[in-house]
Amino acid sequence: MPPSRFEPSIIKNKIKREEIANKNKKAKSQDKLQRRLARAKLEANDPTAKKKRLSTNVPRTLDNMREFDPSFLTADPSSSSQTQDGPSSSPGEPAYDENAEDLASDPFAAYFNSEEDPNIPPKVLITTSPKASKPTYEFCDEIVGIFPGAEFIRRKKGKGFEVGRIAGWAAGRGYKHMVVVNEDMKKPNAITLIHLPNGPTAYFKLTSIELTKQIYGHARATPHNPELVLNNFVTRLGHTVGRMFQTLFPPLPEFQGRQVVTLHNQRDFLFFRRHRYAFRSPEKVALQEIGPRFTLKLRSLRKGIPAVFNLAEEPKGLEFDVDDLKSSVEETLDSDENKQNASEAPEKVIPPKQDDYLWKWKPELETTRRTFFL
Amino acid sequence: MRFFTGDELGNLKILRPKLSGPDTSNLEQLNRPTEKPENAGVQVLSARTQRDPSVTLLAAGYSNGIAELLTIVEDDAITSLQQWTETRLKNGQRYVGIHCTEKNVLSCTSNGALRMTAIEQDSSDTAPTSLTASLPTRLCDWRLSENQNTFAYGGDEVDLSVWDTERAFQNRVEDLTSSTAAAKKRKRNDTLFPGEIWRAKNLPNDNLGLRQPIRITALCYLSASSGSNHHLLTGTQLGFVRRYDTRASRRPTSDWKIAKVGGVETLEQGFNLHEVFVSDSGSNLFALDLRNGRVSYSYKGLAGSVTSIAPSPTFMVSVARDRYCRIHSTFPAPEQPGQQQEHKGEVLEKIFTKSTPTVVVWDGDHSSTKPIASSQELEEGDGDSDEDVWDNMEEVDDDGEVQGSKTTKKQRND
Repeated sequence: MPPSRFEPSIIKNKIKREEIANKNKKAKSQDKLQRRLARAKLEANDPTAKKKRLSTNVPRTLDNMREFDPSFLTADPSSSSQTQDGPSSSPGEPAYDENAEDLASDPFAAYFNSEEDPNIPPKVLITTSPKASKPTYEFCDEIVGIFPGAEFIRRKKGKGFEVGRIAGWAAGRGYKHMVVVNEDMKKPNAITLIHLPNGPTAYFKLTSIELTKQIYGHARATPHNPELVLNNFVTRLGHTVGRMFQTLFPPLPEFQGRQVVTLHNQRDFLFFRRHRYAFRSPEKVALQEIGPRFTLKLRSLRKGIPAVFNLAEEPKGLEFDVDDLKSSVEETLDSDENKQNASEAPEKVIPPKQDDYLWKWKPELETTRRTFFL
Repeated sequence: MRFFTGDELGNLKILRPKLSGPDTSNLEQLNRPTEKPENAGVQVLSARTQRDPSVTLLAAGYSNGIAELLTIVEDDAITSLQQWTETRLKNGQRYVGIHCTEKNVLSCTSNGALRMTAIEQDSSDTAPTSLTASLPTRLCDWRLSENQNTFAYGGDEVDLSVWDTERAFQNRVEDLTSSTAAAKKRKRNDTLFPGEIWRAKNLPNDNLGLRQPIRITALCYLSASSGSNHHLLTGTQLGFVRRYDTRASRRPTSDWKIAKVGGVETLEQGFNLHEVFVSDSGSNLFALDLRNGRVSYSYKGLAGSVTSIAPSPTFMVSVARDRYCRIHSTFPAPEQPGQQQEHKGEVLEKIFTKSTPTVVVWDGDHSSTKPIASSQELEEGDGDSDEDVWDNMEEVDDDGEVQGSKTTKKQRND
């Protein structure tokens, strides 16, 4: 290689300069093509060389260079070996899996531990922001078709119809989720997903909506319970979102319906798709897309249902709830009776007065291009 | 240097910050000899170093009403001294405050059940003796002052109230009911309960003539080195931080809007002069300058709202709802209020805790190192120090000054 090569930019004549530069470019790409053809010829005879090349030349992408987040939920190799031994053989204390206990105590645990009929879909209430318009109603129509057990109710306008209040009523009537489709400039732009009895509220930004009729060659949806595919939810926050989505559907899918709903997470964007599949052979599957296609991005996750701000409520005076004169025996008797009464009638769900954020997206959290949260 | 944290599963952990050197800080779980309470999250914690500095008492209150007193030794061995249940805790109510003094543990719930339990060193099987008292319901925060003579509480439509500790436990319920019965006929807000020494008054109506709602969510005593219990700070649900002086008046002496999102979650006084840490509902943590109510700096990189703050002379540890425990550096406020804060505090390290942590406390002696925070004492101190400054200043020659300016000009020309 000569120490300095001739750069065409030295030539002052534009026509000549262009000619030389294009010739250089063409020569370079021809050179690369010849190399690739030679390599392909070699690899046609020797498949192991191709494998070796592919395994050593893995390109670096933002996804595989992702920043380490300590909240990744990974299978811990040490704990799996201990479970193989079994609790009887371990002489010391058994491995305390705090992650498992945390998951077991989160608000969705009731869905996974319930003993009701798994075919019954959980009730979902769908509504919009006040004063919605036609595109939002069309989208809500599609959403009602996605979740078996969903009902659409038009949102009324007024002071007493805040999201938190409606969530409280819905919880009292046995709904398990509430979906509020927010609209801006005559287009749906956000979804608030509320897990009902006191559950977390997730606020997603909604983009790239394509309705069923806009998809060319779309399949027809049937009322069977779909199967779920939740891809790439890695961190604890992602796990929470994935589980929240899972609780929207009935636990047992109907495989006869051959429908699958996918929520795929890539770089913090959640892609929702709905397909029908048909196995053409034991290895090949044909997919036909049904239903709406949209993209969600999690903006915030709040503990509890949305707060209702009522600053003008009548001030209550100082009250006493605790009476010292009652003996402790009386108290325990009363509390037992109260507990029995409480188990018969479900407790009324009151919206909180303050929003507590479990996670909120802020631009300052994105320190590098490789940080992702889900 | 240890911090104790409690989380929603009922685990207690020790945090040892190790910021110099290659090791990361250690957050370990305490191995408990007895089973931790089932399905109960830790709601409140209080740590106190006994006269023997290697032993720390830790009092914890759980969400199912159980409160426990534990001793922790230097090498983190933990023994449970006593355990008792707050029977008056009803569904939906929670512990709002606990404090470990030399001889007793005082605990308070949000429905006003105040209990003082005696500490018995030899853990016998008999239930610990306790005295109880009743406070109004709907409380959000309860604190005991540094010198343990008074405590204060505040809540939802419950204005800030300071009580005398001893008198609170002397009075029986007959007095309370009779006083409330009489009070109901008349201005029920103005008659103090027996045991109560001071109650705050609501701010005057705003510019529309509307009553300001009282929704205190966080409360903190501002202690001076003499252990005065006159200054208090409250944080409200609307995002205001109000400073009260019980000796001066019933209305707040200052009222600042601090929180950006939601209301104030928690407040703690820092160890530097005039420093207070405030967190709001929406993942912001501020360091406030008490002299003028301005935010000196805020900490970046938080994703969830901070639920508990534990300052210490060197660091500050905060615990948030996004399952992270963070160690922060703190810097003192500038000498003159309103000057620019040169060094801003940073998040030094964040540790992922696998379950949501709820409280954090510092294992150390709070009273000896808290700075003078009250303005009156500061003014007196300032007067003396000002004169000293003038006396100690050397006389500067005119030549010297001119030379100084000349040299800088030369540097600029280069």
